[in-house]
Amino acid sequence: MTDYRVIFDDPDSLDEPTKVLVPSDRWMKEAMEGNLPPITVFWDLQDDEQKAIAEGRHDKFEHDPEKYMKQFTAPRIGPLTEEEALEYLIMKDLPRKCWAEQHNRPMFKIVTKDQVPTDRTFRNAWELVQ
Amino acid sequence: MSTIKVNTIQNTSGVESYTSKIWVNFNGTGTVAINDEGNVSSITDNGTGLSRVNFANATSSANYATTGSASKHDTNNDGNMHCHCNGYNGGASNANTTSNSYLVTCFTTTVATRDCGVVTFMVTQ
Repeated sequence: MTDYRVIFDDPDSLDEPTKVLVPSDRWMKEAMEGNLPPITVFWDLQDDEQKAIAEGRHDKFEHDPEKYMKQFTAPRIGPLTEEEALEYLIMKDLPRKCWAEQHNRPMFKIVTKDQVPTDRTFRNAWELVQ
Repeated sequence: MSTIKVNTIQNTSGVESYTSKIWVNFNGTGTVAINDEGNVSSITDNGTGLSRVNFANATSSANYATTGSASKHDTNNDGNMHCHCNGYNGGASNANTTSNSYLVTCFTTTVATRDCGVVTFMVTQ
């Protein structure tokens, strides 16, 4: 069971509260056992879908079957450490702008579970402090 | 344990059997905690009552069916909880529903977003 969490701000919606990514323990185990395809498999799928959204044809959109099947058939990348699995997850599940583009401050931070406030009283005032 | 890998399962009349592609049961209070899941890589706590379920493997399209439930698990008599499974608050469904993730919204009968003790969500395609 991982104790790590990823807190991040979405560059497209900076007025929204800081978000918290909670990894699945089962997924982390799969990652650390080496059962994941290359991250580019997911990027290809995301790119195709984002293009369909931008072009207004998302409701009729279906993934290219060959690209879709690569999730299951592409050669596995081998076992990852917990830190490497988190990096993979960040590149898969966080908005790409968070980690792929330059900003005037970091948009995400890996923290431990006990560093994340559990009290929602001031939830909407949370900010990512560097 | 053995694994059966097939493309489709049909009955003897040729009617295809559809199974749940993604499911999750999580605690949405405080910071999110995943109780159990299938084909989920992570959950993003987007704010009070707002949780994005990120799929471990993408679906073939975003035209899937969803269902969900929310249980508040507290003693306040301030209304039943609802689990909203589609583009909430006028948000474009494109942004909330993709083949990679889905935004689940929990709110009270007065349509205020609210964290819930147990939230379940399922995708069938």
